[in-house]
Amino acid sequence: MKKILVVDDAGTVRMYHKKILEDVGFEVDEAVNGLEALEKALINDYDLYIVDINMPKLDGYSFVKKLRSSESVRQSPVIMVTTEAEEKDMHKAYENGANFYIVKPVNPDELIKVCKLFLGETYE
Amino acid sequence: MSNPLLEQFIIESRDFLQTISEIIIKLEEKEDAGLLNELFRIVHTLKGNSGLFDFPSMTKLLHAAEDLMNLVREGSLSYSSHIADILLEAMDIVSIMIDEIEASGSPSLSSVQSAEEKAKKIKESFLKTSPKKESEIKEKSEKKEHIQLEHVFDFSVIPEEFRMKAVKEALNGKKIILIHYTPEAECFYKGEDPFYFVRNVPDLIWARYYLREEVPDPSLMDIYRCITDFEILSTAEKEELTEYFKYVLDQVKFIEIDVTSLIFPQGDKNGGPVYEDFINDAKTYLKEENTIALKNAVTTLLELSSSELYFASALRWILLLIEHLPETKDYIEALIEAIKTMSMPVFTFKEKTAKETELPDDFIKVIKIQKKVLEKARLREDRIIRDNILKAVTDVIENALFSIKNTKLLNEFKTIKQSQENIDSIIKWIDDKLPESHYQKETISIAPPLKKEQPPADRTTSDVSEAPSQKEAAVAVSTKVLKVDEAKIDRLMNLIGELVVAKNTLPYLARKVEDLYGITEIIKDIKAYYSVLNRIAEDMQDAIMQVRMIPVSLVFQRFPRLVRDLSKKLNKKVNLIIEGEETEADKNVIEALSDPLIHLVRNSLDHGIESHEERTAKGKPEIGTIILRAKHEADHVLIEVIDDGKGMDPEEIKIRAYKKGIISEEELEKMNDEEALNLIFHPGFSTKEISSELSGIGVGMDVVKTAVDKFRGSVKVKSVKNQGTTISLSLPLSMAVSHVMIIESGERRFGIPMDSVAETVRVHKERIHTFKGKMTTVLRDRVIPLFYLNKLLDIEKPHILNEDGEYAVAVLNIAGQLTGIIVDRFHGTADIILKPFTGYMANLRVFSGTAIMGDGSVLLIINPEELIHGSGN
Repeated sequence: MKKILVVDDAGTVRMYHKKILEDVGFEVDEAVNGLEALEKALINDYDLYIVDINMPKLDGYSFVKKLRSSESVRQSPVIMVTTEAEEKDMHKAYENGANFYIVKPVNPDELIKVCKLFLGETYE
Repeated sequence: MSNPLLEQFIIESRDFLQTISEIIIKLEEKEDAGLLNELFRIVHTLKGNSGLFDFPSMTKLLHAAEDLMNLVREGSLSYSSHIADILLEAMDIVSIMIDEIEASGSPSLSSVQSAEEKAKKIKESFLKTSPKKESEIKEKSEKKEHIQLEHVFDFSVIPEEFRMKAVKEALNGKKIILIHYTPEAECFYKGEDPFYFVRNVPDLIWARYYLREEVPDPSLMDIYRCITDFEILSTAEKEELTEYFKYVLDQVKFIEIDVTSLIFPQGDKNGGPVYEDFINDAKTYLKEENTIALKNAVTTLLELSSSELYFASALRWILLLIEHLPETKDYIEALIEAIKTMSMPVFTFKEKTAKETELPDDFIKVIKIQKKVLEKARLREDRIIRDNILKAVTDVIENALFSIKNTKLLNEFKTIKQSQENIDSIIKWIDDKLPESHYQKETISIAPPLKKEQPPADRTTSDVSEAPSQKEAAVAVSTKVLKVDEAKIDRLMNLIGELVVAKNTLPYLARKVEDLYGITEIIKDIKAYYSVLNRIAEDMQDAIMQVRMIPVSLVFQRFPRLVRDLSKKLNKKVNLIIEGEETEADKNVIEALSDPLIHLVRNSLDHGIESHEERTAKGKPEIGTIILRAKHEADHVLIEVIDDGKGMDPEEIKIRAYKKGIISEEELEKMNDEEALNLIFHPGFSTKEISSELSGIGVGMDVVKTAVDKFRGSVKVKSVKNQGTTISLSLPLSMAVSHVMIIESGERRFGIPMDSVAETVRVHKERIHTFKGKMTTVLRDRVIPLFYLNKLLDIEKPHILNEDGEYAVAVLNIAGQLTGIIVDRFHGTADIILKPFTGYMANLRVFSGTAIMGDGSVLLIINPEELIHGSGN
């Protein structure tokens, strides 16, 4: 069972993502901001991170940055999710070491497809 | 509402809106970059959440608010109370929309309009976009809408005959194009006629239109705005269509449809025998490519079956496809299988063998991005970061290859990884395997908004079970608060209420057993058991009450805003102090407080606090003070509204009341100050001759009183001229279960709320005196008025005296006044669940409602105040 950490300060979004991903058989854990996500990443072994950009305490960019400069945490892929479909935001995400970029609102099928690719699950 | 995601959205949005308005007000006091960021973030999140649903006008408005905030954040606009007002107004509209969505699933037309207007206004006033950019933005949003379509189009809306027509064309080498056409709202003014235009689309197969906005009331519809979308199926060449739509290209989206999307049977799946023989025969004929035999078998069976059947529909499709054998062989096979399983045909075959070597678009996109990520990582100084990013990227590539089951590439990649794992070699590998021709411009696809209650695909959020597990329903906030749907608590409340009543049956049964059978042993057991049950029920009731308790802050928190807005309007300077907002009381009580409090605070602002000049002249501090205070007092919650304004003059009030005919001349002379102040609660009494715009028109303090009475609370006034006024509301902490005294009068039983029963006494008939036709008696050196209950209730029976010649009198305390009610006898007290009257019976104000007793009988509960004052005494 692949384990995903969904990081978003909006409960509605977390619930939405969790539901979509659990329905196709992934295990989903939640964090409400980048800081909590880092704390959880230290303890648990996640196969994938789905991270919102705009968050209190520690935003998505900073989360990836910190994750990618840590030597003790497993370096799993990071998918950024944001409402901003701006070229510059995308670049910023990739610069900080994120591996993908999805624009909100997320289309369930799209999210599932991408997650399957990222986690090596059979792709239809 | 059965959509947990929508419920979650509503709960969360309300929290956000509350925080937003708090921050806006805080920012007015002092600008703070941290708060500004926080504000921006919350508005942004709220906008993001709204985008999950189909509330475009709300999203638009929030977007405008967010842009405005962004200008402030960047420093290109300075925060002012004007901006605060705009934001607050915008949030008010959103708040109304949220309420409407909760009530009916969608915002009303009027709030949609005001949201649109507000968004437009914000854009026009602050966000001066050049016309070019405006059109770009528009194009972008149009594009978004179109992309959404790909995911939501349901081909089953196209009737079979049209799908067949399209498939026939396709089999003859044509392409099938689905056109989505969104005419502009203003298109009528441009001389366009979308309907006519659509009907003349070249090679039109089928079209339909639908409204893109809900029109709750056709009479309110703006007929000059086009709100129709069209979906059109055509087999014309793309070039031809592009030419045809050239003036509205920004409003159309062409999607090429694969023929397999259209081939599926439709109809009644129940009925008609399925001939195993036919399926086997058909498969054999197909294998042997015996077209004639297959056609005969299908035609024969089709003649035998009713045309509405799913089965028949599948046969018709096969018949159509037979004409194009052999290339349609796979389709026919899928249809035969569909007949067998009675499900949608599955087209598992590859259309073209060439496709097999092609890599899926998504895969290519992911790999391309990994290349970008590596190129950026290459520039990083820090080795750890470089290595980490590389690790993540190789992980992604390996998984993606595994995912698309491309073993060849996967093995290749693994070899590369083992031999020379560095950024450059991986980039090179990607370049080798995916030459640029493969690379399409990155597109960002956008989700279809979740339609209210019917999300897009079958993977929806509304199929979360009706009762989501706690984990789902709970929102993890920092304080680990569990948010529970109110309806669930109300249900608990009702159940415990029923339990409390049901347990009362036991003592009644015990008595019955005793009276009828005289068995005493079991009586003791029943009574002991009853006391256990009683204790559990009471504890449980307490616990549930605790759950329903909410802090008054939920009501108080609206006041800073209210006072701010009103004092601005009135041009008065006021300082609002809130105390004890953590005080808790039952949800219903708290909610009921809201309106009276608004009224009181408005009154204080409007009539209490003097103008600037007036205060200075009186030597008072020029800024007025209003204190909103909450505290517990025994089993009541006490709310005080205190102002240091001009106060009220009892004499003036008395004279006014006399002039209005509220009191008689005699009362005018006798009334003490306290009684005089209480006159303000009299309906139709208003201290201002001309009621100002703010305090409501002709609505006086009686509104407050009515609200408080409804909850069996009380209201008191204290006022000193030129020093201020204090109004205190006292309400019971909760009101689910009430304690009543049961009295008997005229052979009927009634309940009187224990809150209002001061004591029960026996009064000898000799000690009842009549003055001016009114009965009184002296009780502990006080003269109290007496009434016969039977008279008050029109029961034509005299009251019963006991053998000592005494009447049973219930002494009631009504708003501080003691009044005696003569009854026949007392029957102790009981816990009851008060069910207020509904419908016509609600006019019977002398009773506040009914209760079911343990023995199943119905008890009428008297409303003491109405009993005494409502019947003209």
